[in-house]
Amino acid sequence: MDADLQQRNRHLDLIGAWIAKHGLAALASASAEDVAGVSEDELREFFDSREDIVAALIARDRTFHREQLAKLLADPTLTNTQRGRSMWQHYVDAENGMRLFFEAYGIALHDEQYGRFIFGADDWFAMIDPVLERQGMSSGNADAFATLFIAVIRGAMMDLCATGNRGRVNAAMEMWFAASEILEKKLEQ
Amino acid sequence: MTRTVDLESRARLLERVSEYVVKHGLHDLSLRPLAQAVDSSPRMLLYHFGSKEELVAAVLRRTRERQMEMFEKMCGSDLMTEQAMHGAVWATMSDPKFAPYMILFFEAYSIALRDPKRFPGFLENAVEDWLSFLSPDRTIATIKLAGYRGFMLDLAATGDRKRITAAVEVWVDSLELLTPKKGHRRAQ
Repeated sequence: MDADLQQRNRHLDLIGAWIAKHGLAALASASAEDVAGVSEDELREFFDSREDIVAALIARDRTFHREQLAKLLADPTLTNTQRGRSMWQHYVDAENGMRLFFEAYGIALHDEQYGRFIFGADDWFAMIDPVLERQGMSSGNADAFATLFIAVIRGAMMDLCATGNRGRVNAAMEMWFAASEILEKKLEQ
Repeated sequence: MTRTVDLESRARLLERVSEYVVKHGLHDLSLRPLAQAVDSSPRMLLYHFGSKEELVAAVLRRTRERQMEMFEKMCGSDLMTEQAMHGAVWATMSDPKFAPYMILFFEAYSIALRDPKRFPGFLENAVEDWLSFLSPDRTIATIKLAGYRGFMLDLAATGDRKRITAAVEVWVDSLELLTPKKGHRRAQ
């Protein structure tokens, strides 16, 4: 990894930790010195604006999640339920990133700059659908199953970020994974 | 008597203010144009609600109460199956007329995540009120709420109604897999 990229990633780590503590709204008026320990000019070498920083953080998180999903999908020894459980745990462990995503989502509803990177097309379906189709699901069922799988995980993360009630939400997800195993078999018929 | 008049005029004002906030959202909300739109004044709004944050908190509470009343009325019949109930709730939530309410919810949720003190109780109530409505079993209710919220996030972001509605149909059919074998009734 070249030095510039390492430096950029270090800035992102510091800024991500700062946002987790102070919230995204405070970023707009915070100094570069406070959020990353550098001058405004130095920060500008890597990022054009505060929105650019948030976009980079979210893009980095998205890559992190995508790599985890790709790894799980490529492992033939795993069932989809095991993949789902593992992906859920992965999101729970990355709760700060999800909070940032939901915070930015609210802003993106009225801010085109945020909208471009928050609402940009996800390629989750392109990754999940072929695996389900190989298992015998029709293209329509695969799309529906992937859509609802992602929806339940995101919705449960919204609940977790709002209430912090891991016991209730984890128990619900465990019940959901058990049910989705039966649902998956029905959809493959 | 004065107190009663005060409460009545606050309630009337809250209905008008809520309509305005649902239509315009929380972004850039300021008291002067709001007061003008509801035939009031910033001073009267502050007299009745205390501060802009308390006014927004009152709007969010009122909006949620109205939604709960609407859904409880819609799903109140004992003859309605679980599947029919969830189909009806989704049809209402995903109706384009409902979009401003959803946008207001996601905006408020986003702000409250950043700063929970701004709308005290909003995050907790946004989950708890729905859990009691969706099922007496909190585990099942949690899954149902996760589904609705996740589908709404997807719909607001992508607008891909066809794909999402197909997924909701599969999801609604699958909810019977979650239902406990005995004594399951909706919370009233």
